[in-house]
Amino acid sequence: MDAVFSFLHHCAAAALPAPAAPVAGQQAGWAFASLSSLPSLDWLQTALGLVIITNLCLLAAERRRLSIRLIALQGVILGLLPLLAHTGEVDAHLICMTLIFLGIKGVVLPLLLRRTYKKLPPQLPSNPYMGNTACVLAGMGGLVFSLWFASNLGMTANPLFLLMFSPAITTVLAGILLIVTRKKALSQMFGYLVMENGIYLLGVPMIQEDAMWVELTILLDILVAAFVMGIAIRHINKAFESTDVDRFASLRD
Amino acid sequence: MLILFATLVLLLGGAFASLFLRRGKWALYVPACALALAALAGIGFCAYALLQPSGLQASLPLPLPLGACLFSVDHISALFLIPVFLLSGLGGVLMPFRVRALEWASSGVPGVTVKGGDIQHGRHGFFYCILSAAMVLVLSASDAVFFLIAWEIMSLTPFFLISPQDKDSKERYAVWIYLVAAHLGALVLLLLFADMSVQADSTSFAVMESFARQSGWQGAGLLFVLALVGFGVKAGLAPLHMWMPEAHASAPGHVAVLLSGTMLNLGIYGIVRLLTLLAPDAFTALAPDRFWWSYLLMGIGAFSAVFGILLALAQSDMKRTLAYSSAENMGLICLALGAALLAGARGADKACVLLLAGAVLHMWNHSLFKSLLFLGANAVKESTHVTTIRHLGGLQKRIPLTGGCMALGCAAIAAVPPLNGFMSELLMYLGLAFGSEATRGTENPLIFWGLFFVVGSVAGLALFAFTRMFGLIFLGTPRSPESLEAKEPDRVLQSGMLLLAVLCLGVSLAAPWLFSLVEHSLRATLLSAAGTGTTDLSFAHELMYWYALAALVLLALFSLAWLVRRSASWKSGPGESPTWDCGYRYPSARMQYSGGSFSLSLALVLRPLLRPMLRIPAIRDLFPQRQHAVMSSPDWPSALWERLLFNPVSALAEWTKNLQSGLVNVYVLYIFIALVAALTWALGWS
Repeated sequence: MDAVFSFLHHCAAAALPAPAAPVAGQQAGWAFASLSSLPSLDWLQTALGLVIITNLCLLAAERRRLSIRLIALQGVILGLLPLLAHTGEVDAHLICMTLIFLGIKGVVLPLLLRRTYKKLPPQLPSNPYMGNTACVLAGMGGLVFSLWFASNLGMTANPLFLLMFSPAITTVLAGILLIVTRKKALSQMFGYLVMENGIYLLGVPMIQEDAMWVELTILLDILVAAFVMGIAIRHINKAFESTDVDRFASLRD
Repeated sequence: MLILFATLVLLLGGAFASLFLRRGKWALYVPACALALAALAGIGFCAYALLQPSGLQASLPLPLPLGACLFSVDHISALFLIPVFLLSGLGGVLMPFRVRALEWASSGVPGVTVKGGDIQHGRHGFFYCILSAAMVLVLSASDAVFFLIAWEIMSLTPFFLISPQDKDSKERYAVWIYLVAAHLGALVLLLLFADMSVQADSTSFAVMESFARQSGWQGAGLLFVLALVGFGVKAGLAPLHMWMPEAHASAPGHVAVLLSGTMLNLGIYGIVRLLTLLAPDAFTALAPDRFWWSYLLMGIGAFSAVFGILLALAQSDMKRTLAYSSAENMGLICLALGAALLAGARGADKACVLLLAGAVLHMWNHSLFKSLLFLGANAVKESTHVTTIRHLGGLQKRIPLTGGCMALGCAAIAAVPPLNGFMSELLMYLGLAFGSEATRGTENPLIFWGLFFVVGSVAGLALFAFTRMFGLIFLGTPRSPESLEAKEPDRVLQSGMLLLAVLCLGVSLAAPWLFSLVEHSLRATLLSAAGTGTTDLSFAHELMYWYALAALVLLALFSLAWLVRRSASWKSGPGESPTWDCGYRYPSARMQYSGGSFSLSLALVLRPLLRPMLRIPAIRDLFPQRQHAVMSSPDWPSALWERLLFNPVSALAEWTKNLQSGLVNVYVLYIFIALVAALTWALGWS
């Protein structure tokens, strides 16, 4: 595990300037010239790097308790992002928004997950479909894919979008990977949350255009889904005496 | 045109009344009455349409998603409509009685029906009426989309009719085969009409025809091949016939009448109609670069005829024999069409008229005698509960009326002069002979004489096949207790068979007049471009008159002989004695010719075509045990289709079931792969 983490730190160091790296020539210059007006560019980049690192850690995490903590950490970072990505003056609206996101992503959802987790009987961790190392490598593959993808995206009206794009896609892909590789229903729920985080990241650059309201509604859906999943997982556990989703295969026609 | 609409309304009314009544005898009697009335009105309408100088047109302001409800009945449609009306009326009248007999048969006790296991009357009556109505629509539709809709309804309804009791697994298999074949054919037709309507920028047949005259189709050859495949499946032409033996052998008598007697004709109608759309003057002036169309038609026709009759010869089931002989007859019609194309293109007008008239008459005749034979087979099945030839025998003494009708039908289908089958083949022979004479100096006489030989040998083989079928079933001594206790079927089926037998005789006597009628209507439609009166066919008419006269004389002699024989044996009554046994003391029914031994020598001679599989046990011991010799002739084109197309497709379909694993993870993985692929494709490679 330590080896993995030290590896991740190296990766993070490489990933921090990552959004800038593939943007070639003049376009990059233009994009970052306009971004330089951002007061907290360094902090923003650090935060995005942390998001990527938490993704990779989640892919590597075997214990669900650890996963919940990592999701909470990612939630806190993401909750702070509107504040960091903001260019104008800080007003009550922004602070209110940041607090809502911090509250839901950083506190409420992890607490809900923890509650579900506690209510489940203790179980042996089941082997995932893909080993941890392979998962992390696949996550790195996702990162490479998203960087390549961002480099092919071309000009966008909002330079912030270009910055956010590849971490967002990396997060979405990491979420899907989590869903695909994990056997426990609760671990799959983590995957859905991470995926939603990625979508949220895509919405952050639109903060000036009040698009966060759309995000808020999506978040509300996810919140409800977390409740429903929490209940469903317990029922699944009752019906199948396990939360391994491969038991559902008996439901196919 | 109003009469046509009235018949359609009658048929639909009968259908929905039957659906509404659901159960009980009225659910069958009402559609039966509707079918009979519609048949009477429809035949009257056909006569009227044939008397008109040109076709009748009408349109209904019904909203279709594409195209329009255009009706048009020209002389070709009318010629094809006659058997449809005749046989759907006859089948309709027979339907209630046949259904009741089926229910009795399933209970095992005559006069008693089992509750729950019986047929849904309303459903049966409904689909029977809908099938008849759809066939009328197909023949009168004059718009591609409308035609396809009618075609699809027509193809779909037999699915519900072939196995009314839905019990037998074999019948169920037949139904599925039918459905798959019908839809493969419909798929090809869909492609064909889609391309045609895009090119002509309209779905109306009239517009398509004028488009063909003005600018001509692009890729007409491909369109022709598509039409041949799509309609050939319906007509049961030989390499595409795989559904026919299954479906026809499983269907009850009154359904088989519609399937075999009329629906096959519609395949031929489709080919003729498409020929007129693709090349409006196909039968008078086919472009030289399209000669291969006629060669293709002739080739498929010849293959279908020869192959159909050979397999008919090798079948152990009575109804399957009949089904394969349908492939033979459709092949003959197709062959005549192809030869007519070639003759018309070479300027041999006489041959063209004769061949086309022969094809149309043969189509009518086939409808009549094939229906007669299917009804007879149904009667045999009903009285003995078997259709395997091996278990039948000596039925003539027990069910003489059925036997007599079957004998007539077999003789007619084997083209024994002077019955109706011979009359239509006579026209083909004449046409082929004139074709070869008129095309002297080219390479074509060889083709015509080759076809002459094919038609002749097919007629000979048909004689062999139907002698075998009739002889083994009706002559000799019974081979099983079932055939010993055979009884005549009910009066209605008897009169149905008698009516068809009389019609067969009637057609052979009225052949000269029917020939004139067909010639007249062909000149008004397919051959309208050729100047009238350029060809003098009085000799053919004269010949037909002579043959009709000979038929009359023979018929009179035959009935005289029958009366004499009957009065002679009136006092003593018919006696039964064993067949001549060559002095062997203990003859048994097993010593008679079996189906296999009857056709063995021919099967061995025609080994490359028929590919018989023989298993004759060698006797080595001094005291040999009981052993069996088996001969079977598998349907190798069907087997080839199975190996090349059906098995790989079904293996692929079976494999795709693995995609549905039931694991959530795998489903999300599919989304993942699709997402990455879509993103890569959409943005990555720009």
